[in-house]
Amino acid sequence: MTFINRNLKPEATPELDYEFPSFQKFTLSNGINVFLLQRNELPIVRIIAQIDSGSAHDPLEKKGLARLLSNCIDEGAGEFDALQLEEEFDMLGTQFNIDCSDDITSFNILTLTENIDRSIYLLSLILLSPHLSEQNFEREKRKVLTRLIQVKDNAEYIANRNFYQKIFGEQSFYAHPSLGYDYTVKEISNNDLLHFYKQYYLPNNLSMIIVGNISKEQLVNNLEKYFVNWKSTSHIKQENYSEAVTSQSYYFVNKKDAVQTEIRIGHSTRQLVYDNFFKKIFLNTAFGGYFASRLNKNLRERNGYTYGVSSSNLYLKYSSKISIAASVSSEVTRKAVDEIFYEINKLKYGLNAEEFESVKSYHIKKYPLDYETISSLANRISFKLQLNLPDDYFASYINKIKDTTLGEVNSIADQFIDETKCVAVLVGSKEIITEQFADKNLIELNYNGAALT
Amino acid sequence: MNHLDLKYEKYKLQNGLQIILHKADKPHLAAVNLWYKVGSAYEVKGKTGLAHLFEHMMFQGSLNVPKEMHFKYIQEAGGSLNASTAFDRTNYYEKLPSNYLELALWLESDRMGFFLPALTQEKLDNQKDVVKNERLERYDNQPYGLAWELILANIYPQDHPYNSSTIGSINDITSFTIDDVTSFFKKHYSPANASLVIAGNFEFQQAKDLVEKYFGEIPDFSDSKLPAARKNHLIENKIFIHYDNVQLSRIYFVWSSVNFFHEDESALIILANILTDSKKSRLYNSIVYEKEIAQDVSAYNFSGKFGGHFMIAATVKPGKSIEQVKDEIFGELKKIAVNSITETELLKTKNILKSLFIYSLQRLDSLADIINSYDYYLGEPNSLSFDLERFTNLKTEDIERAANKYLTSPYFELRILPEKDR
Repeated sequence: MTFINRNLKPEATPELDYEFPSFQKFTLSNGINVFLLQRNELPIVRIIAQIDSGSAHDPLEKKGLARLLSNCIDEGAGEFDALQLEEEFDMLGTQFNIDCSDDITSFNILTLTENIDRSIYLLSLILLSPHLSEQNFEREKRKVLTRLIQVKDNAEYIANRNFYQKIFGEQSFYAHPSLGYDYTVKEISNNDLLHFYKQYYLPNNLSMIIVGNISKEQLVNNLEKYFVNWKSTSHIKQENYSEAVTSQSYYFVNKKDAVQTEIRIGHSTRQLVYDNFFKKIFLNTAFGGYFASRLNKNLRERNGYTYGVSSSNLYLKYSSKISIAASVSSEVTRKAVDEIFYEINKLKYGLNAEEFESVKSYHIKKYPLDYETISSLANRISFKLQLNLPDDYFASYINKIKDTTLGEVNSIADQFIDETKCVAVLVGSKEIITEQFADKNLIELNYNGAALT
Repeated sequence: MNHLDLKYEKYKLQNGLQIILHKADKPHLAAVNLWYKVGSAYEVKGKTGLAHLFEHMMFQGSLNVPKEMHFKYIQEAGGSLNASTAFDRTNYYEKLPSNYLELALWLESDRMGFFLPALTQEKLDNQKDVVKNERLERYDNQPYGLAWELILANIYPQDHPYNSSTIGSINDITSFTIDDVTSFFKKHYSPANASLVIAGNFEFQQAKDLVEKYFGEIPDFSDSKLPAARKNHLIENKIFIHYDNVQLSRIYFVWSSVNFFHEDESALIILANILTDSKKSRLYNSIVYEKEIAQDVSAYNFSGKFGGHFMIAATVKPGKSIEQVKDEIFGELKKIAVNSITETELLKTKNILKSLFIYSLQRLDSLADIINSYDYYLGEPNSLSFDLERFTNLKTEDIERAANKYLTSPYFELRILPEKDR
């Protein structure tokens, strides 16, 4: 018995008007580009100092170099040894970490406004005068080599590692994981680290993103004070991107006694084309980018094959990839793979009006949520810089989504993911996979991606 | 301005549903956070994982909301949503543009009041498969993934509410019937057994009217009973060896500790931090940094409504001895008693925590959940300052006392060793 009409879904009242907060852009006297976005709700500041080089710049025979440098660079700097340096950050209650990915290495700080001066000072020591001592290097290298033993336990990691290698092709600098491989890390010396540091850690190869409770005057003052003596020099980037062309193929890695199979399916694609950027947001979201997506409805909500499945369209500086990821019960591996290919095939015919409107509504309205925290704002600016998106990217975002039509989206639906190029990487029980895929030309790989004959 | 002072209004509807309203400085957002006072601690033997499976069923639709639409409606409104099951409670939450507050209240009230008419065998079978996969993904197929359950089964007695994990065993998940789900709902999902927090940008009177409109007519049928509280104290050391498909050995030491907000809990949390949370922390510095006999080491204190435990875990480096790692850990624990905690160690940890409290205010959904949590455990939603003071008031001797009191008693030792060494 109910006294109100519960059949009617309540609608929003009134429409919200939300604009992405505008950021200021300026350059320090030594050439560092700075992006500042003020947010004053809480007395906190987020800093991302972004070096425009990452594991994509690893020399081919020394994969893992950029990441190892990022592990060593805060092991002592300026007047502090490694332990003192960390203690300095801890005393301030400042969170500090370094993240090394394909195209960039970022130094991330979250601090109370009252401690910003000291936090920036510590950051400047790490960037300008790291010790990079032999002793610390040797210890960190041993740690990475142990980590590379440990990752064999992790089906997810092995699946990603082998998948990237196959979709980008072994000649591409995007093919290897940032950790490198055991046989390449063994070749790295502390001199290699010093060389990489001198080559890429330069003011004209760095951007600073600052979001939070701080005025421009104070920020400029803090940054100039500590970074002014750091001079730019010309540098040449070793970049050797080659585009791999893949054909439909099935690889697997045996993980004894696995109760699930890790599945990765997809291929690499050309680097970002801004004209298609928004259309692809629609396609990816409807396909596997949110809970109500086609893949999730099929594999999870209809068939119960998995706890979750998703697709992602990841952009890198010189390339991008489209991929589907899921962990499924071993016994339904083949069924799940077939369903994924069924959905890939179906996507060629485009979205229907209902799912198109649903995705449009989702992206327009989640804007305030996307930018709730200073970290999410800073990450978005970082994304814009990495991909060299236009300056009006933020201001025009909502209108670009609003103006996108179903016809435009469907005009590129058959190019979004090409099943003839799809590489499938499966990590699980050899017995089950070989039995279920007896009709396919399966290639077995070891943990590092080498084919086993 | 005191950011930790959370103003709120708290009241109850006729049917016993508790409401807490908090206006936050988030011009475009509203968060809805609903706690049901039931978690895996309330399950019976043979039906482990039922509270969590039930959480999944709550997204399978209700009388006026078809399957899959709860997620779709919130996401189309630009919101985020989820739910989680713990030992003590199950929470359901939405964060969305503030002009969609009514949508979230409509959806939450429909499943609170009209869940059973939409329950079908097909939905149950589907979610049993999904949850089995969740278990495989998060426990069985993860390296060291069974450690948590082995610890719970050994540190808490058989009849203790924390003896099993929230996910439940595969056999129990397989055994769930429509009757199990129905009786679980009838027992625990009454409005009087729930607390609803609304936080963000809204008008108080309007929010109250909406809450009354959607939740007011749901009848109270409260039948939930607290599980029997039991002490969990080991009387002698226990050891368990488990072989797994892992490359490196890992060793765990677990002691019984205290309930949530017990007077010693804050000292144990700080102790864990002093032991393993930085390069200079006692254990990390000794076994990872200096001696390099371990790849990693971590420590934490868990405290809940019905019990708690303190754990230290370390992964042994290739070719190094598990016994040596154990000896070093216990050596460092002994030192704490004689080589007292320094003022610097304590101050550093306090400063980290102070900042964390401020950082935690950034997300409205987390804030709404914190409010419900304080209300549930302390009866006072505005407890951020009180909570922080538990840490800032500590002295070095409090940490030493806690170490001596809890980490010298009997412990459970778990060793997870590589299958190839069997």
